Amino acid sequence: MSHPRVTIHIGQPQTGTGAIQAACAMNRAALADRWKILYPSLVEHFLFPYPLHQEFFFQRSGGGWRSSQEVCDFFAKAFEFSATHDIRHIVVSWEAFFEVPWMDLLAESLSRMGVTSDFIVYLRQQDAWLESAWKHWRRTMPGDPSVSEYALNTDSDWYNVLSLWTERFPKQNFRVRPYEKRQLQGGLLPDFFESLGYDKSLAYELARSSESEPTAGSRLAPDVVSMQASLRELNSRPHEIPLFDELPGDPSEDREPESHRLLSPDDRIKILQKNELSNQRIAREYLGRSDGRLFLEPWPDPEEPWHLGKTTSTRSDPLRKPRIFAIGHSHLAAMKRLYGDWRDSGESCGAEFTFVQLLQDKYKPELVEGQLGPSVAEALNADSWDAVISVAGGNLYNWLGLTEHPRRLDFISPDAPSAPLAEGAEIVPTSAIRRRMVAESQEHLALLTALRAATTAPMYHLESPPPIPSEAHIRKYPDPFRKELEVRPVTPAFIRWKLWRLQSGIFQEFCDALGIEFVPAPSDMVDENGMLAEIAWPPEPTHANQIYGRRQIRQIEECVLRAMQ
Amino acid sequence: MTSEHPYQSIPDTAYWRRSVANLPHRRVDPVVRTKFRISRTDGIMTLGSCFAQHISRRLERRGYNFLVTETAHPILGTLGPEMGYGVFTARYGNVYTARQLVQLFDRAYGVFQPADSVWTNGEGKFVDPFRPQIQPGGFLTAEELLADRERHFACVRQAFETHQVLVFTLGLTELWRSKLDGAAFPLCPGVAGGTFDSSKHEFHDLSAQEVASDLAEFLKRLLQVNPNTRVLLTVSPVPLVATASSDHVLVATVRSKSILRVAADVTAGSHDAVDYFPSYEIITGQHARGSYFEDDLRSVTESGVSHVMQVFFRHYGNDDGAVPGNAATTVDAGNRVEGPQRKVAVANGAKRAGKKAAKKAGRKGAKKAASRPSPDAEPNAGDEHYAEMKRLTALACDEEALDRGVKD
Repeated sequence: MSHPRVTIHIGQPQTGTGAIQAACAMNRAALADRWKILYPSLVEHFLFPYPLHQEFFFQRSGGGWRSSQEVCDFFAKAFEFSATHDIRHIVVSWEAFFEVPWMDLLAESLSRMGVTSDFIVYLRQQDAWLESAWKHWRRTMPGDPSVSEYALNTDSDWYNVLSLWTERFPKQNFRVRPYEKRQLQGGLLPDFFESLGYDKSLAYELARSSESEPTAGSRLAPDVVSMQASLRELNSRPHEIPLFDELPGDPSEDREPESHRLLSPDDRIKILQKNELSNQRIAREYLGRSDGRLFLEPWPDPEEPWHLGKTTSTRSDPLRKPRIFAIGHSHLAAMKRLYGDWRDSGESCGAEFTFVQLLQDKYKPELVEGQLGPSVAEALNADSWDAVISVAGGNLYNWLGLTEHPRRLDFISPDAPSAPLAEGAEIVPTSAIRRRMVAESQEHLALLTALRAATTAPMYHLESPPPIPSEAHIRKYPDPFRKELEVRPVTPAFIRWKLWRLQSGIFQEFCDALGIEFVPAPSDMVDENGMLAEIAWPPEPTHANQIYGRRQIRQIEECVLRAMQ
Repeated sequence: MTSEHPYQSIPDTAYWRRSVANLPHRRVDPVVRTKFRISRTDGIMTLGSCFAQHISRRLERRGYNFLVTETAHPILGTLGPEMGYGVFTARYGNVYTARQLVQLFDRAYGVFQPADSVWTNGEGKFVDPFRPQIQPGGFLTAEELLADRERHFACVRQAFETHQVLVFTLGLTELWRSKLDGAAFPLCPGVAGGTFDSSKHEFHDLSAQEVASDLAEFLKRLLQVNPNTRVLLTVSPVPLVATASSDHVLVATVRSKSILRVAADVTAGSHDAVDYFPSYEIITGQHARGSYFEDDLRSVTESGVSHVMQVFFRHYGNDDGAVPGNAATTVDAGNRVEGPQRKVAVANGAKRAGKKAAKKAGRKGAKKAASRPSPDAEPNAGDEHYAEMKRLTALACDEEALDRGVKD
């Protein structure tokens, strides 16, 4: 069977994979339509914007590898789709460069289907990669190693890893690209598409994508880094405080693919010496460079003055408050109002908030062709933020469930599968309701995607408040549902709770895929049944009051602090 | 000088040259007589292979009374068809074989309870072995699947008992079945759920006698619960995707279609209430020169379907011109009725119909089936309820309203 060309982008991790994946995922339809490139999604349909990478092609969401048959099935469907949509090139991206089981699974699956794939991999100079990897994964590393311990004891021979791949696939099918600023002329995305055989202009046409590279995967915004560095300056003994051990030195360095300078020049030289031969072989065998130079970055000067935590920050206001950009719809109101009251009364807050209330006409349209609308983009670009907070959407569970439909329904909640069901109600499959909720949430999920693409600041999405359990309260403050409530019963609280949970699960899943931290409702604002605590009930049926808003502001401050740590 | 002989008096339709070779292919009409006609108010139940979906759609489009007893809850909005709602009369998915058909009846009335009741898929979700693709993403729990199936069976019973015309499109002879109890699956275990186990599952290719026997058994049961039914049999012209026999797929396709054609002929010939409609011949006949198939040589073109349905309406319909709009009857299992069949369907509501079925069927298990609760019986408000709630929620989210709300 003939099939489109298949290219698999295999990483490595910490080489801007998030930027590549975000650009491809958010432009799935355009890539397919204009360039006949399919970057397939497994969610909903092949051109669905999420998730960004294709991990779920190969691993089950609950863990464990898929079978070769399943992988073959995915590709078969993608080929079928390609045949009917004139797709000429399928691109798959997952940065599991080091995963030997993945190599085996791919080899078996592609062989069974008789598919030949080419591969693209970005390699980063070992010292910079090890620093970045330590920063990223140190919390999951056993024994809490220092960066030096980790870097000196971790095998970073890229040639050996590539050999594992070439034992399974033809060597000539691998395109190796150095992930190094001076070798990524024009940027990562142009380089990526050029490596795939397209003109660099393709990347430029994927609006905004290039803005997020090459550090789209970074969770630490430059200003947070800067602020941390400023804080460090205030402390005379920074290495006694574990927080400071994690901090990069120069804020500008976090934007670059090169070293974070966490390792001493001596350590970096040791690492580079250890891998020099390996790197030379890669340069000669994969890039055809007779001089054996894989990376062009000069080695560190052993005499270079260095100490961990060195900073070149010149910030004049080390005590400035974190700047937070909060954007959303109706559930933003309580926070916004409260913050306004604080400001008016001169009360202090631990952070400086800027609220973008999308209900206001001036922010319409929220999105234009999947990108932030001009007014929203302008507001976001007006400053560099320490955190971006989303309170987008969140009322779907109310319009689907505040009052009971004439065809009474119930469903099984994934969060409480054994909970009793409403007697006599029609039991609707949960996946069916979820499908409707996903469909109805599209614009809000697209907004999250566009926000994620437009900022490198840490992003948080606040779960919408749980439903008000009291029917008496809802009937006491019925507007604007008064007429509806005169003729329809309020849906039983436990069903409204299930709809809310289902909605939250959808947002959480998408946030996970986008690298946005999902922040659950404050635990002290939730009663023993998981509903909105009475203290947070507003005089209306579908939101929460300022007490809840106050608690959310505190939650955000905690989030920002955590990001700093 | 020639003597008189029978061929001198036979009509043009008996001559290949006059009725096939010399006609423009779209004018070929192989129907010469019918046993009944279908009025616009007759509730038409459809089931069968994927080709039968074309019939459902065209009936609806033409203003005929395509009967739907299993409707999607309005919370699903426009997503119902993705989950098999409204594709056929009830959400049974494709019924490829006559064996599935008779077993569907028996399962709906509680007479047959297959050992394979619930399967799981690779995602750990639950799948109905007898309609494995009906719920995208699978069912969350086995209980949810069983609850949905119970409602499904109520709707199937109602469909069997309240229709006036049943159109069944025979699709396949090849099937996979349980070695334990003979339960016939629409798909091989392991394909869309479950796990194939050669000690429990086996391949079987139905013979013409078996298909005819299954159809006869089904009709016997159907006439017990719906004595006035009229049944139209067709054979799907869509070739096999793949054969599990050791033969070439082309050979297996011709054998399969031939067997189905023979069985349909035998059945129509032996039952007054059963007629055969030659959709298979219209699509595959030499006159079409293969033009009614898409490039994959399997899918039937819209033009082919149009030809089939033109002939169908010409001979079976009361076609005094197309009727705009959709006159489909939707009767959910809880007595909800919309469309021209309201009075009839209400009179034959699910619960009463179920009791009647139990009485008439007189089989073990039927009583149990009839006593199952029907879903809510309140008239269907459609999606208007949700549309209104969406509008009101938008009002509640208005900034001014919120300003009032958050200031307590």
